[in-house]
Amino acid sequence: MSLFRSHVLICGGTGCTSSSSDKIEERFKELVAEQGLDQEVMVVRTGCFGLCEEGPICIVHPEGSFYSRVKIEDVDTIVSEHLMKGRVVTSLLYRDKLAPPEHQLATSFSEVTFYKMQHRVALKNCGVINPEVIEEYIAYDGYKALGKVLTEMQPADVLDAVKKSGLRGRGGGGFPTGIKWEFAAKTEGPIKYIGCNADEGDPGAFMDRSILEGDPHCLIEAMAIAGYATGAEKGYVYIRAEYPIAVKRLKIAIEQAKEHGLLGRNIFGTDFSFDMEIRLGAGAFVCGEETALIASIEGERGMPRPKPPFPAHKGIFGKPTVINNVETFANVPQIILKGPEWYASMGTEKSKGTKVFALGGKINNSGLIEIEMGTKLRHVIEDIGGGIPKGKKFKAVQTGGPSGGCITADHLDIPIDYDNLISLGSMMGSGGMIVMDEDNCMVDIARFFLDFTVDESCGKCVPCREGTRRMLEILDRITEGKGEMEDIDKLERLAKNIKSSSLCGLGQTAPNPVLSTLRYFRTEYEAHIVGKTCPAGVCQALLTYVITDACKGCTLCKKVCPVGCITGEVKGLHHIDPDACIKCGACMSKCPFNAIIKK
Amino acid sequence: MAQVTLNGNTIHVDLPKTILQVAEEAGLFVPTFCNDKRLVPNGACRMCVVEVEGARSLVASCTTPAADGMVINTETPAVIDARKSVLELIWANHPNDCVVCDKAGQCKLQDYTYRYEVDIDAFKGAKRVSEVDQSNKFFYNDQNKCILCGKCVRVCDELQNTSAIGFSERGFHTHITHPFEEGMDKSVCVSCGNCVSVCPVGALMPKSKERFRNWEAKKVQTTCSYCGVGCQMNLIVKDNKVVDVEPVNDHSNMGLLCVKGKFGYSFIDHPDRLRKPMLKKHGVLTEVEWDEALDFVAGKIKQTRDVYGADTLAGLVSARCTNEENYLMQKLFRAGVGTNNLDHCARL
Amino acid sequence: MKSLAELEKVQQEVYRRINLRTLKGSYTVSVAMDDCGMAAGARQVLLTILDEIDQQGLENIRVVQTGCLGDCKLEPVVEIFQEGHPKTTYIQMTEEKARQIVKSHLVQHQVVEASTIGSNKK
Repeated sequence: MSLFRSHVLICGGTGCTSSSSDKIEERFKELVAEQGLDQEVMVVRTGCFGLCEEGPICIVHPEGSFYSRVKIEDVDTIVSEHLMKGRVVTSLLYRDKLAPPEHQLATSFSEVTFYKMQHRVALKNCGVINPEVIEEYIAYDGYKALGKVLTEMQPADVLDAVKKSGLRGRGGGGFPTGIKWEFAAKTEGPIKYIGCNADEGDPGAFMDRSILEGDPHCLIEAMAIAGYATGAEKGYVYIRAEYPIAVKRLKIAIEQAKEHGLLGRNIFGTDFSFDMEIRLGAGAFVCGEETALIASIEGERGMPRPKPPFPAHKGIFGKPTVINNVETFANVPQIILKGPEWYASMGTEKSKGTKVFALGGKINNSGLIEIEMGTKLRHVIEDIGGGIPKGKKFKAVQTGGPSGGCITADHLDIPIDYDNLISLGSMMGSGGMIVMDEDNCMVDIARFFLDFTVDESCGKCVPCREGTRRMLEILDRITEGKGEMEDIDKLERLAKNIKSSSLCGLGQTAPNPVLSTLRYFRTEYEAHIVGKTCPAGVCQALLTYVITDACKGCTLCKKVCPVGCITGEVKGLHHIDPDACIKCGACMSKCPFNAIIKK
Repeated sequence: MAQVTLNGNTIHVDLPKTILQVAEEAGLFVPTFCNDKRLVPNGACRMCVVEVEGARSLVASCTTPAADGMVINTETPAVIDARKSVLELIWANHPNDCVVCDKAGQCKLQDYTYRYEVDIDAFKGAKRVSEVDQSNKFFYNDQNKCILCGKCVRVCDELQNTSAIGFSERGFHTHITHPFEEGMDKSVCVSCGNCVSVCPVGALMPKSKERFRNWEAKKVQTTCSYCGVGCQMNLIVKDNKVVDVEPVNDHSNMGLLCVKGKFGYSFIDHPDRLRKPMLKKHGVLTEVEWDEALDFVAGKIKQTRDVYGADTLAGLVSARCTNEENYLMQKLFRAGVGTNNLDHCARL
Repeated sequence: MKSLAELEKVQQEVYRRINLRTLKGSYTVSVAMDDCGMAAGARQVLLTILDEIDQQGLENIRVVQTGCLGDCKLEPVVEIFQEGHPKTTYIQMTEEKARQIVKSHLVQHQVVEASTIGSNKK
């Protein structure tokens, strides 16, 4: 690597890749070579920058020019103007709407408000390094922590550091990581395993995916550190098969680490050895539960097993095993290098450090963010997230995916941490945040999440297998206008029993979206059941399509209706027969005068 | 010695034990579908849930180890409601045909439903519908009645070591089947019937020729006569006829049987079975009394020995006889007849 | 990698090559490019500055390019920014002057007055 004067970083995360960022990279390389700049300009594919709403993203360093929504045609302009003539292409720059009007052009990446408000620890290298080049990871202090641990620290010191840092499991359970490692360390060997849960099944969650795609080495380093601390010499990464880019990058990373002697026998010349193997999931959300994950690695049907025994005592193949989430591991190298006090200085009393969240739904800046624990929810949604698009009103935010609950406008000022979210009837989960506005129906939202859980239930225990299905049937009836008042009592009783008697976390948390929406939006349920209406205008069966006075009699709706339920003369007010209407919405989308509404 | 408080009473227990074991040894009733003393606890049915002070939620007593100082309650309102819920949910996916079901009277689902006064129509929704697998000669698999407790799978895996039967699909569509849904007859099933014996409901049932209600029959314990293991079994007898066999949990067989012991009882009342010895008289087989028959046999043995020598005779015994009978037979031939020509079906 | 020392060596080498992605920089050297600058030889000046920085083993220097600054007859123009100090504008740069400025201004922290725009106001 010689001294290049410009680095063009192009996001190679799954989101931007699906918008052809790989072709953009090719085009850059082509043009740079054509202009004879290939010794001066380095074109680099990096991991996820996080501002996925604005992808594909390209950043030119050292200026830090943040080009967003880049198209292949734009590459020519950027090369000829910026790379050759130093003229930043302002028309392609990201507009930082969170900054004061004079500073809205994102000429400097580090000044972009979206990033200034974050504290990127687990995502430190994402968007900075090329994940497929181990030297770049090393350049930014990669494998230094492993070196320090193996040459300067005893296993007990490592356990101490992780415990002191206050790091808690980032997969959703929030169990203190240091204590989990200690359980495994104290259990007799000689064979132990480190397992990484990279199954990430929550819909809308892609924190782990981004870390794996953007910085796979931090996982390898952390797992080796965990192995040293607990006495394990082998690690398994259980990664869902639906993440092909992440799998590919991890494979490359493991190979490179082995080539450089950073994985395998006698690492750094010590007598510590550590090896890693990748195991692919096969499309089951339940295999994100640690005992089902273990069963799957063992070749059995992915069904959870009773705890105790806990994996730290009896895990993969019956051996003591530490299972941690990708994001949990991603924090470990820095805890070692910067010290546990540094990590514990961030966050709240019981929830230390930072957390990565995936913002989705009705939010302007959808993408990945990392913030200190204790940050107010309002700050995340209104400031970093940029608020609700189209000026709509915020209704609720779902945290924790299908295991979590919704948080309303009344509670936006709570500091985000594990315990606060649970007290509100939700949970941190793995970090998914789906924002909802006035056009979302909360009953439909609960039904959506339950639909997912019903499909993903493994079938082992009665409450989850049968109970979630029956809850879904009740919600289906409510959204179809066939609900009765006693359905709410039925839902609550069933939810209580499913929660208290299910075998594993999937069943125990499946009723949460229902309970949470009932707690804060009971009137919406009652509107569906008693009033037979959907206030948000979502549940098709409860809506009537009506033609208003704005109708000009152009007859377009009548022509497009597939069942011929619209009557009317030219230039006259048209009318929809509600009994014949199949609510397909074709008329509404065809009307050039917005004269058709749903109510 | 540890101390545990069970429904308000403090008792001493020897650990390690599960809460279920502690409760049962103390004489308490705890309902279970998926529990079996011989199998590794599974925690699948969630009927055995109990309340433990300080726990996050109800715990399954079959899989939770009892600990010193634990305060356990087995019949609180929350526990009862959870159990009722489990039963209601099972019924939502179960045909309501106790009246004509062959398992009536010996069905755990029926018993618990009665005990907890469950509303079997609490949920009306979709039901799993499957065809009954009749491909096995001795028993059938009616998945419409299966409650997915998993005991059949575990018996076949852990005790029988055949692994012919397993779970397929997931969630609401989970069902018990054989690999690739090819039916029992195409699997490695050896028809031992242990899955049938362990099924708590009427999903895995023997194909009996007689229809009977379990309260019309009595149980007679005996030793299986087919081989030398000496499995203990109960003959189910109605009107002096054996209509079914169930294993007894004893040292020799641990509650397991093989296809012969479980299903091979039809010879007892078979019309072709000889009930009296027969002798050919004037070319026709005629029934005679035992004295006449034995005299004839003894006479022929002596005659053959005297004319042709003792070694032209051989005694064949079998596992169908008891050890004592086999001992006497070989004594008879060695000492009485004077030959060492003896053999046994097991060697052949 | 047999030792921590080996790791550190790789780290230092590679970090120098890619740190411009994250560097805040104690100095920012801005070279005006654009058509006029390029015609006057700004690209060579830029590459020379980079080379001299590398040879001097300097760290924490950001070298960026900008578009036309307006005074085209003074091209190539190089501006040096340091926080808390007024900017220094060097005009009519050559490769030789570039090396001198790196050694003087960036290493010894002494402005080369003769090459600045101030000294041009005659």
